[in-house]
Amino acid sequence: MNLQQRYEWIENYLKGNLEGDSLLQFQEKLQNEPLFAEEVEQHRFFLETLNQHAERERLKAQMNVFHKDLEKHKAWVFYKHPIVQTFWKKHFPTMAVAASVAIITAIGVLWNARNLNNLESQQISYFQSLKKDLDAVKRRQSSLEEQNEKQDEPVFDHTATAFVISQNGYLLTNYHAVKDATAIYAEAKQDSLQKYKTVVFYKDEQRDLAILQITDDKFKGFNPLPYMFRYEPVDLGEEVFTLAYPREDLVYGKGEIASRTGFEGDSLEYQVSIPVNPGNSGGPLLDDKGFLVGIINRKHTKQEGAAFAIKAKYIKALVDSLEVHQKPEKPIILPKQSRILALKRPQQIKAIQNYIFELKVYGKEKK
Amino acid sequence: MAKFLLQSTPKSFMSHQALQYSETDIIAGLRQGDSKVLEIVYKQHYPTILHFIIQNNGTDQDAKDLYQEAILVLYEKLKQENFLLTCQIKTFVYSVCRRLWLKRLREKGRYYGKIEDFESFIPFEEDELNVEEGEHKYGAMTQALDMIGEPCRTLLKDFYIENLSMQDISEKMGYTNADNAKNQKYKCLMRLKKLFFEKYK
Repeated sequence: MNLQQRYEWIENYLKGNLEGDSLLQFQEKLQNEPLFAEEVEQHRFFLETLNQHAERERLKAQMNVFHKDLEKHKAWVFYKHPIVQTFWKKHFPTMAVAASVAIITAIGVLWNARNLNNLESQQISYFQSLKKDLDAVKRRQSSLEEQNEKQDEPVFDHTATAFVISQNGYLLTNYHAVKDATAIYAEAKQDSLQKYKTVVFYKDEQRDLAILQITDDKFKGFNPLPYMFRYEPVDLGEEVFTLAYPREDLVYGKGEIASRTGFEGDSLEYQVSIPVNPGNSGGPLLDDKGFLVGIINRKHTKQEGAAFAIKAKYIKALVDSLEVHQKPEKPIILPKQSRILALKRPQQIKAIQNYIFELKVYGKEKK
Repeated sequence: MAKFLLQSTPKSFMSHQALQYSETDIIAGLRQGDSKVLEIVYKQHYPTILHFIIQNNGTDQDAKDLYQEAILVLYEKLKQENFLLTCQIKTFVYSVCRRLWLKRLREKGRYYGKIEDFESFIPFEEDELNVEEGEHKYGAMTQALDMIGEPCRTLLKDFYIENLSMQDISEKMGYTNADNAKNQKYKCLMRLKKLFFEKYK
């Protein structure tokens, strides 16, 4: 019996096709030869697996057909099916909320997109530069001008504040206060009237700072400055004050550091709770001891009592950067000594007031 | 008085067809290999499993694979005469899927110790279902069948699965006589057996 015949024999036995002698012979061999028994068992297992495998393949093919059907009818599967009904019942509220959020968001986005331009201009108007616009004056002036037909004469545009940062004639103010200026006069009128013509020596739009230089012939230099800068950050709640010219006379304003960041989180600025008005731009911000900690530049239009001041650190950075960008003829020497440390507030102000100037800024008439 | 002229949608056709069968009928049908019953069972429980898999970081494809495996387990178990289903079909299928998905998540290293459940289930032991053994066995067979190629595959299939006679096969495949076909079949079977046991061991 060759191998092929043997397997035929085994398969016939497994199928139950053996009869009579052949069957008896087979059973005898199965009992007496363990190796043969093993071979038979192995073959049985192999054929069984082959069959089961085929059966599984057949079922899988069937199920794939059902599955396609299921996917085709997805909609009704999800709506009508009892299980799915409980699924919907269970999750409908969540889905409804999710859907309404989606709808509201979509509408909101469309609405926003439509109003984007609008919004932008609103954003811009959220803060207001604190220069004092002299609209009335402007109008009067322009009508005068029309009468005189002198169109290119400088026009008195607005006022702001500036303060001395270097004994040899440098003042600090805001960029926005002087950006379109054709002529700038600095006036201090406390102990004695000082009025000097100045020019913009350097302006930095990003930090909103400008350095003015006094170019007047009658200027002979200031006395040593009474205050000095404090560059370390100021703590929240520290008392601060400012002096400025929001009107024809010097005005004192007091408050606290309200936040270490400024408008919309601008880290350049502090937020201070000092009531400020147009004209306060460029006013010095001093702490309780009389150290200069910043310069007032703007306020929040939609929020009461929120003014912003540029940190002293950035003033120093600006002055330091001049060495590289635009070296001044006469060096800018920031004060290094405070003379008002131990004084009470009125005495401090008395000492400071002569170093704070009202800026009268002239611009070109805008057509 | 006004009335809206809306056409009401027909009531579901599949689900109440399913409802006509009791659980006992379905089990009996599956034991007999009734493909209509298989279809009903298949379509009835898929959404539950799909939901379960999706909620536990799986995809449609994962759900389909697992679900088919679970149905096969159910089917094969029911074919065993001594097997007694002691719970609802739904619970059984869900439990199998849950077991399989847990295992797959572990293999992928994406199991974070929490499965979100939506049904009651039977906590099967790791090897209680013999799924691993089955996967191993059928995987080996699939590979072996792929490797022997044609005409061997068709030849073996016709003889061992479709139970055609050697005479029919030799005519169908164009062999000169039945003996010739028989020789060929024997060679194919031996090759397949060798390949299978190479993979399976």
